[in-house]
Amino acid sequence: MTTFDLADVRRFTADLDARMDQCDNGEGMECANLDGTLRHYAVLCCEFCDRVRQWGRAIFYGQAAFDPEVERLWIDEGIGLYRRASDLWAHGQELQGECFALQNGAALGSALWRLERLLSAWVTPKPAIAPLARHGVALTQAAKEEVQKRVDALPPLPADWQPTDPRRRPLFRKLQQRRQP
Amino acid sequence: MAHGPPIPLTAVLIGLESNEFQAIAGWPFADPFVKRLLQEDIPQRVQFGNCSIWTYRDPNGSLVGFGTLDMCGECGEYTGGKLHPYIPLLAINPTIKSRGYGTSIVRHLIDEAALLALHGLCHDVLFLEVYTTSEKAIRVYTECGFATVSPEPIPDSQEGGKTYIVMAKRISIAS
Repeated sequence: MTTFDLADVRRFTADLDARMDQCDNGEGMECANLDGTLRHYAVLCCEFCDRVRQWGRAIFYGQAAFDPEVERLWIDEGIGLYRRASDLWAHGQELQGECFALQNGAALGSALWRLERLLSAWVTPKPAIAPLARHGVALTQAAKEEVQKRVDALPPLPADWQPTDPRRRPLFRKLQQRRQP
Repeated sequence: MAHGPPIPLTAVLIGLESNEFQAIAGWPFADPFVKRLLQEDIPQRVQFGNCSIWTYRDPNGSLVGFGTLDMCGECGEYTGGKLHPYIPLLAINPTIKSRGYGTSIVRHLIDEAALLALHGLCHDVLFLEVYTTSEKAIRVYTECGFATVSPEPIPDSQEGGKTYIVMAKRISIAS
């Protein structure tokens, strides 16, 4: 289990760097061709975003302490990864169509979009203000059992329920049809 | 107090970098807690969690309020550990006179939570917490079908011992 201290995050970013270098040097089968390299970078971008989100949530929910050095490391690594991945994506776009079809260009484009959003609207994590996020439903065991009983007894929406927003009704009908046996 | 039918509002999904978010973050809320939640918790829920932000416009195009909906695990011990929908915050533009906008916003958030549950993305109970001093908000949630599930008000030591309750509503549809 990750602790998100500086040493832990350094290990993660060093591993990410090594995997980028190996791929750029053509080591291993994963990056044997351009399409494989695009896929590999898409995976790296997603792994990076997922780990940063886990770190942010850990601080928000009071499970990890904030360290500005860790934040600096995430930002620097994210910018480096974005540069390398976006150069690669642009190269793929140039060749796409002219020479051959690349299956993984869209996957990398989508991963880059996620990474770009994370970096451009960067949020420094801090512990939550809302009480439920800070300590859950802080109750005695007997009270927790009562909460569970009340939750279990909540009635469903009526059978003829539909979204109040008419624009959402087509989606609602589609989802309902999909659920019917 | 008598209420007419909820006023139809147009909901628009927005991002943290949008002009609308900057606009609502600058609203002069009477309760500073609302501003703190909006400026500190909501951006984190968007970036690190699954939170969506909607703004609402009335038929004249005026921005009358906003609502947020997250999928998270705050009440996971009551959902078998499954992610569940949760309303972190909603508010009406404090510079306008509300005409039942709160009810319309809550109903829209129930719609969206029900769609998430229908997608199979989360548990079918929608949760929220509300301070007991927010009587008007509690009345709106109750009108929209929420029930109090915490047996007694819970003191929040970080907010000077103010108490809050947990409310919930099932969002699956009866067969």
